[in-house]
Amino acid sequence: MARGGRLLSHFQNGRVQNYLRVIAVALVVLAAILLWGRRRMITLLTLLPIVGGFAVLALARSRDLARAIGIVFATGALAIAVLFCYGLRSRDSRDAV
Amino acid sequence: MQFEEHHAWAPSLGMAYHVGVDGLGVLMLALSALVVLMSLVASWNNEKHGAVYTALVLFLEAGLFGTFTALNFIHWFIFWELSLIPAFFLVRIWGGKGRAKAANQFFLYTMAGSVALLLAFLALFWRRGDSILWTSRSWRSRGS
Repeated sequence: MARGGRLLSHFQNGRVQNYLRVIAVALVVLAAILLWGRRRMITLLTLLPIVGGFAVLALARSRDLARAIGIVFATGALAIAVLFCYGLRSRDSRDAV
Repeated sequence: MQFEEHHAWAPSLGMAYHVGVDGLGVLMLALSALVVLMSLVASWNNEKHGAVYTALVLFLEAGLFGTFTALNFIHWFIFWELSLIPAFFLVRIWGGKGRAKAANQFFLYTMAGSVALLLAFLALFWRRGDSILWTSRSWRSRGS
C-alpha cells in the first residue's frame, strides 16, 4: 500500500504531470493522423515523422519530453511499416490461394 | 506494387503524386523505421541531444520514407534532396571530431551526385520527348 502510494505520488509531481499532458496531446495527434490516413497509408507514413518533428519543436520544453515525443512518433512509424510487411504477406498468401 | 496512391499533381505537365511499395521497398521502410527508433532510444542519455536533434532525426525519417515509396522521378528527387538537409545538420552539429569537414564533404558529394542525376534524367526526358520523367506508368506502358 505504502509502495503504491509512493509510486502514485510521482504522478502528482508538477513536472511529471506536464510530461504526461504533452505526451497525451502527442498521442491524440497520432491517433487523429492514423484515423485520417487509414486509406492513405503511404502518405500517412511519410507525414507522421514530419508532424512528429514539428510537434517536438512546438511542444517540447525539455530534453526528456522531446525524446519522449520523438520516440512516440518513431514507434508509430515503425508500427505502420510492420503493418505494411504483414499486409504484403497476407496479400501474397491470398494470391497464392 | 501494393498500397498504391495516385493523385493528379500537375496534370498539364503529366505529373502525378504516385506512391506505393513492393517487397524490397517495404523492407527498407521497416529497416529505416527501426534504425530511427533505435537511434532515438540510444541517444536518451546524451545531454547534447535536445529537441532540435530529435526533430531533425524525424525529418530525416520522413525524407527516407518518401524516397523509398516514390514511384516517379520528381517525387523521388524532392524527397531525396529533403533528406539531405537534416542529414547535413546532424553531421555538422552533432558529429564527432572533424565534423565540419565531414559535413562539407557530405554536402559537396551528395549535391554533385544529385546534379549529375538530375541532368541525366533531363537528358533522357529531352531525348525521348515525353513524360517519362514524371510518371512510372509511362515507363511501364513503354515496356522500358
